[in-house]
Amino acid sequence: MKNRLYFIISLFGFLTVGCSDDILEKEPLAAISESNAYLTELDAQRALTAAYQPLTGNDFSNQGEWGGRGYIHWIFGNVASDDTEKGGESAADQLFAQQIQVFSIATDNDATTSGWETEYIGIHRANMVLDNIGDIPMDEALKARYMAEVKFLRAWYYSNLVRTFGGVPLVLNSELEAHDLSRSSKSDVYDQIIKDLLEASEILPDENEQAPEDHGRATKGAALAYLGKAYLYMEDFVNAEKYFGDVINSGVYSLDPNYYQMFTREGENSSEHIFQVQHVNDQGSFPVVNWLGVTMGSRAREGWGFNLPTQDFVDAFEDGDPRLWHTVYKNGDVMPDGEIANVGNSFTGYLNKKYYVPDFERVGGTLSAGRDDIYMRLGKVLLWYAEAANEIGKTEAALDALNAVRARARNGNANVLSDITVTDKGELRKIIWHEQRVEFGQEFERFFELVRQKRAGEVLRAYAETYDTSKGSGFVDGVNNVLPIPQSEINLSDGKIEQNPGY
Amino acid sequence: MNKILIALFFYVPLLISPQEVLFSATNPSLKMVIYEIESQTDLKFAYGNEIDIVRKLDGKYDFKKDDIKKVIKELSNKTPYTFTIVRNNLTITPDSSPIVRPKKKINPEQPFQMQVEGNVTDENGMPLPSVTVQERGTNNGVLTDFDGNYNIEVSSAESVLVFSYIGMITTERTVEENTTIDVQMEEDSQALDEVILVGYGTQRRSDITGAIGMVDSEEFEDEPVTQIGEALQGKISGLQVTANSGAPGSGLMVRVRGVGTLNNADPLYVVDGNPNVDPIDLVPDQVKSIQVLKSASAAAIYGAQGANGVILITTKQGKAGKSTLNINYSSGLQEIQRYVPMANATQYAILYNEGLAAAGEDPLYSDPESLGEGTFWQKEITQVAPLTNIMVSASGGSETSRYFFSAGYQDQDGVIKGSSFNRSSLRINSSHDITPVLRVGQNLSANISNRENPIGLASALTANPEIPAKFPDGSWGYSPTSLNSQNPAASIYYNHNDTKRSVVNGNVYTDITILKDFEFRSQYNFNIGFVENIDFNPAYEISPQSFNINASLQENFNKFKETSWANTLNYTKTAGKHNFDALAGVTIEESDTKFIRAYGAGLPENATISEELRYLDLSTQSASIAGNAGSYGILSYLGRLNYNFDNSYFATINFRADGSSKFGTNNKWGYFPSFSLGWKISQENFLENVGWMDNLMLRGGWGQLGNQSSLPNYAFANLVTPNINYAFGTDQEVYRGQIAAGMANPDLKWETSKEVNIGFDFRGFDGKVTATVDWYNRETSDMLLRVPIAAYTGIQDFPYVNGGNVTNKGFEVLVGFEDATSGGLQYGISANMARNENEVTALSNSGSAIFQDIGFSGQGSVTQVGSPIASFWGWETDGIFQTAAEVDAHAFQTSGTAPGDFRYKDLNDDGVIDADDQAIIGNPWPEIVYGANAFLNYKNFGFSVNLQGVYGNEIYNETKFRLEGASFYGYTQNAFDNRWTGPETPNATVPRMNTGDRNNNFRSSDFYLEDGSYLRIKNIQLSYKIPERVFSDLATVSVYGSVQNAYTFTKYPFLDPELGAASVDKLDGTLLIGVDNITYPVPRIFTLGVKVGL
Repeated sequence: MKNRLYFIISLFGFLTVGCSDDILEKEPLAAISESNAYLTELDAQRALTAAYQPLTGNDFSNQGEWGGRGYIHWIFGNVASDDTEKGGESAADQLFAQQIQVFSIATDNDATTSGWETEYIGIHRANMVLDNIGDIPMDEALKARYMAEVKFLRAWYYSNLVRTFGGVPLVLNSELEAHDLSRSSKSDVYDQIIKDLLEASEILPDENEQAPEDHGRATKGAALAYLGKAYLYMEDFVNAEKYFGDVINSGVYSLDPNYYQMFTREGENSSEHIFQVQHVNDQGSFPVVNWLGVTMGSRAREGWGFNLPTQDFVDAFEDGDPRLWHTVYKNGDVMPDGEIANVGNSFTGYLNKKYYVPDFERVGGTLSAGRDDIYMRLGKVLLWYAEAANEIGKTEAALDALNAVRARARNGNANVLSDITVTDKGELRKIIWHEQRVEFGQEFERFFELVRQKRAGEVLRAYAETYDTSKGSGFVDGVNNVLPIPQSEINLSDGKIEQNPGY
Repeated sequence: MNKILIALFFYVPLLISPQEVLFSATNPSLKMVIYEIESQTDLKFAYGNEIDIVRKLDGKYDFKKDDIKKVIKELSNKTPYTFTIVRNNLTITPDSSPIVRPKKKINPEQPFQMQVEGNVTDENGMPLPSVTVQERGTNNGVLTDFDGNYNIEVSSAESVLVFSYIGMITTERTVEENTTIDVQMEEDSQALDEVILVGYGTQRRSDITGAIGMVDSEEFEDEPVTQIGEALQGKISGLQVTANSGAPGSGLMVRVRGVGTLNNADPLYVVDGNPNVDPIDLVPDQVKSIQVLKSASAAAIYGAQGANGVILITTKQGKAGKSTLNINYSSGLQEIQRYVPMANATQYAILYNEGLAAAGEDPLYSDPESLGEGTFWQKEITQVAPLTNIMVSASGGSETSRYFFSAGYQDQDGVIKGSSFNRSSLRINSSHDITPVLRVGQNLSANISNRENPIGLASALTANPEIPAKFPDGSWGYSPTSLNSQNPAASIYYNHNDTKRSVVNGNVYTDITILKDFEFRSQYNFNIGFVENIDFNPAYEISPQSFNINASLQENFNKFKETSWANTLNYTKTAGKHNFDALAGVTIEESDTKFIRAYGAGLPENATISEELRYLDLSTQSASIAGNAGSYGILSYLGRLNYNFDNSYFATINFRADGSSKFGTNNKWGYFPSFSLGWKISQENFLENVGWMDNLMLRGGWGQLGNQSSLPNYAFANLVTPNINYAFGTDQEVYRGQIAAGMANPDLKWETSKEVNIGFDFRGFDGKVTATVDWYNRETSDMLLRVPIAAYTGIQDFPYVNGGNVTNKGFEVLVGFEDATSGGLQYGISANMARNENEVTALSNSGSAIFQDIGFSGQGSVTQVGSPIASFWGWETDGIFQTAAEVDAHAFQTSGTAPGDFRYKDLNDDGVIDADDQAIIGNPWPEIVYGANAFLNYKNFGFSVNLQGVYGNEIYNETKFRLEGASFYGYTQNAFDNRWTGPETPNATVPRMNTGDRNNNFRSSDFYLEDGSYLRIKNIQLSYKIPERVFSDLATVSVYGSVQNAYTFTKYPFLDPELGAASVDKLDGTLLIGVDNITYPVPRIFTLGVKVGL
């Protein structure tokens, strides 16, 4: 009798366990499946927001958890050029940046690798929006605008890639099986950039039509300005002049009378800004912090002392150009917050004032303020317009644009920065190039400008000789115009992606 | 006191059938006779310590398949012993004393007052002859007769009778007023020490056909180990145990037969049948024995979780009989084994100036000599640290209920200041026989531990020696001029990172004997815990450069609950010479985890000193929260069949089917079969006359296993990462974005290992020599791999694929020798070694390699087809350029290459040193892992030594990046002594100091590699058992002293060649093997202890 009881108990145990097949089906906790991620208008907005986010990657310290490590504009645009020394503790501090400024660049250089990765993360997210929001039932005009915004973003990411690496693989959809690519030609990449920007410009609103809560999103003006820039880099001066002209003539933007202020938090909504990456440090749950204030800040002030403007750069300013002391500062300067400047260990004696974080901007005591990065502004557009116009013989228009910038810079002081009247094309070109150097100095363009203007080797080697330094000395023409493709990418493609010559 | 010492070679289930013996020998030892009879029959011998089994028997013995009864009759006649068969026992007693001891009064004044008689039976009611019945504390004793009856005179009603019999639990009864005391004795499974766990059951050691390693608690019980893994180090062949860190309370890296995966390669730990216990929650003092299932044929019963090997741990259980109480107290001191010789302040300044000059910068120090010796930071942050362990355990029980209880406290400070660990532990194991066929029981453990997480030693190596730890005024030292102004002593002072871990685990079970041969077991296991990590960053000011004005607090809260339920049915049957043992079972396992993090800043300023202010309610800004959860479930069906014929031919078949929620619908189920065969060759006729061979078992097997443990819970689903934020609007409102950052793979399935194992077990020369040898070849296929895919896809989290094959092949040898002299000296030595070769044989990743960055030096680790997992990768140095002419004559390196820089080999001879000149430069995996243990016992003294080592691996000393050249961080003495300073230093091994380093001397190269071989004297121990007369009957007391990590023989110049996984939390940890970036060193520990038994 008892045996039978035990038998039943045992059988019961077996059966109970055997029936619990549902333990093999576990729904993901605390996570949304991709299949449920594109259902509503809010989902579309979130997907778009994610496509913007890699823009904020701008520094090695900005190890954005979900945005890649960042495309480090200040290393490529500034440090690689004659305007900026790397700085930091010593040459070994952020060795990858040192490699770039002496042009002895390993193929696994961190800056090139993370720049490549980050821009492609942005491109993928843009492709995800284009591929997935089409079927979402929502306001069609808004949907069209979202699509236009991500096309702008995709073009923006590609334009960083193409000027850094030359031709790169063109990834235009999120279908991952299709990714067995090799490098497209540089002109194919530019063609795609232009196509995206044109399509975006047809739909995007002008900035003055934008609702205040949309400030910071891509606009028609931004798309046109980057179209002009793309043509400029392709040396298609006719189209460059056309699109830069469209921006200038749109009447949407005007030069900010207060040159310095437009780089501060206070100036974040300046009338001059065309495209700027939004950072905010609300010290709340989801800050989008900008670390450049710390990176470029003085050692004497909790900064790390990178990005040191060179003497050569300082000397490039005309006597009395007020922009010089808006762009750099040195020991003893009285800063906007009333502090007496101490540049710490800067061996050039200068630091970048455009990223100086005054005490009243500090958040929680840190220099990681929520300062925006200004990538496109009317000052740049005017000088690029001037360059393109001069090249195609529209000398008067070129001079008008150039002098508009100088007039704003002189800020009413008639004794400095007098109007340019030179009409010789070659001479005017040099003057415009010089104006570009000082007007948007330390604004992440110089190295690429030198390459575009086909004088990088000449300028950088001259710098090395003048200052008897290794910086710039290693620049080899025909090699260092572009940087190495990340070695990991070459390895992973099994040789389909070929390294740039010389690396 | 216990007059009968038990030696038992084989235990054979009850079997009543005609038995024949075939045996021929002249003057054999009694032991040999015993062995032959035991081998050929199902009889087991029982004899007391008065029988000298090594003694030669006179005469010739020739049995030709004679019936056992005839054999024992002849033996009884020809020898001075009497052989008696009762049940399946063969007892040996001296001819002279059928009833042994004279009735001698313990107290002559007190006459015997009572006569007690009774009957002794076994569990089944069968009479038990030859049971010793003894009056406790006296020499007064008798044996039961053939019908189990006895008759004894005792001195009083308070007398206690002790019934003892071989293989049975000793039972005690107080006489009181009874004149008849009948006793039913119970079989003692503990005494059958040759029966070992094989997963969901037991098997006789000599019948095992897979490869299993064993360690008994006696082999580590007095070592100062806080983690069970340490107890295994150097003791089992094929097991590589490495401390991840010497910090108190840290875990270990345990690898069984190399690694077959790039994923989690940790073995499965099963504690008393509970498969969810983290080894960090085990208290070594509570462990009875450890068995490591190494071969796939042995581990296959654990199917999808067994691919990395299975470690079965049995905790101590209660025994019926007299209750005992044991107290073990030990206390010790720990010290750092050695320091890295560093440049002093003067040398530091010289080196830094040189480096700046080479980079074209101005020197920083105008007068290096004035700095003198400076601070030796390693001494500043290390200490001689105390260690205390107290453990109280009690055990006992009646015939039907048994218990084991243990409570303990361990307290250990770290040799690096600011680190410590303490643990309070409790365990209660008990079992109760409710009816003869129904037993219930439970094993229950509760632990609470606190750990102060240390700041690593690395900061002491990179700290500037010109800075004092403190200025004369008591404030923290810093340098107003140098950029290297970190003060590690201050960092330690302000570091408040504590982890509290509270875990309850255990199981409840019931055993039911359904019918005669069927036993059903239902066991429910649980493991529940909380881990709280509190990281408080106070407001402080060390120097004008180094301060924090905003105190912040982060609390991480992890909760886990893992349960499993196993129902198994066992069937045992013997029919003639056919012996069957079959098992079938169903198990389910579920795991739930939850994580919450909260962060806040702006805590009150005096929270720096007041612990009671470190709560998030007091934070005033920057509140941030996060949380997530995860779960998985596994459903399994398992079965096993053991069969042997005539105890000569053995076969085992295992089968397990596992379904897991971690896999997509396409591949939910995995099937894991195995089989193994054994041939007890020593049983064969042709070996019968080989007298020195006691036992030789040849065995071989094949098995298939799975590994799912490293896979995240939902890799089959493509999940969206939330909170990818960006700000829009003139007011810069933060918008939340989301994106699927990874790629799902619904086709994911089990990672599978197939292994062939061949080996043998040998025992011979009268049991003095033992040897076990195994050879294996394990192939892992469908390896779960996070395949790096081209970055241009924009995929951030690499997808998992079943994408690679790895082969591990090798052999393991364990040899032992034990003997005793007639003078009472017992001694023994055993040695083990294992050789393993690891090779990646396929990667689906279009065949390309998987690279891993090593610190700052770049991609120094490669996993590629044809080489071991995580091989070292880089350039090969070819000396240092002495002159500019040499630079020009060599392949182009960089435009900045100059004399004093490394010359790299142009492997492809293309005249340029570039990425194509990299190669595999080293192997992090030892060729041989070995250990040796020796003991010597003489009278009350015991002495033992354990050695442990590895041979043939390389260490990638990544710290050289910061300590031997390029940077402003610290410099080693080696850099000062051996750097290149000009053509007059042609033998320099360290390149010129150059903070610019345009040649990139510190790229990944063989410059970083060191010979990783070492031999460590792991433990030396001396113990002394205080003679019983000192404490009379009150207690047994022994004292012992030991030195752990006494000495290490190695060429490795840094802190410690024992390097575990560099990062155990991250996935890439498995690819950072043998990389030294200064982990917390394992300390040398001196302990003294005392053990008291009541």
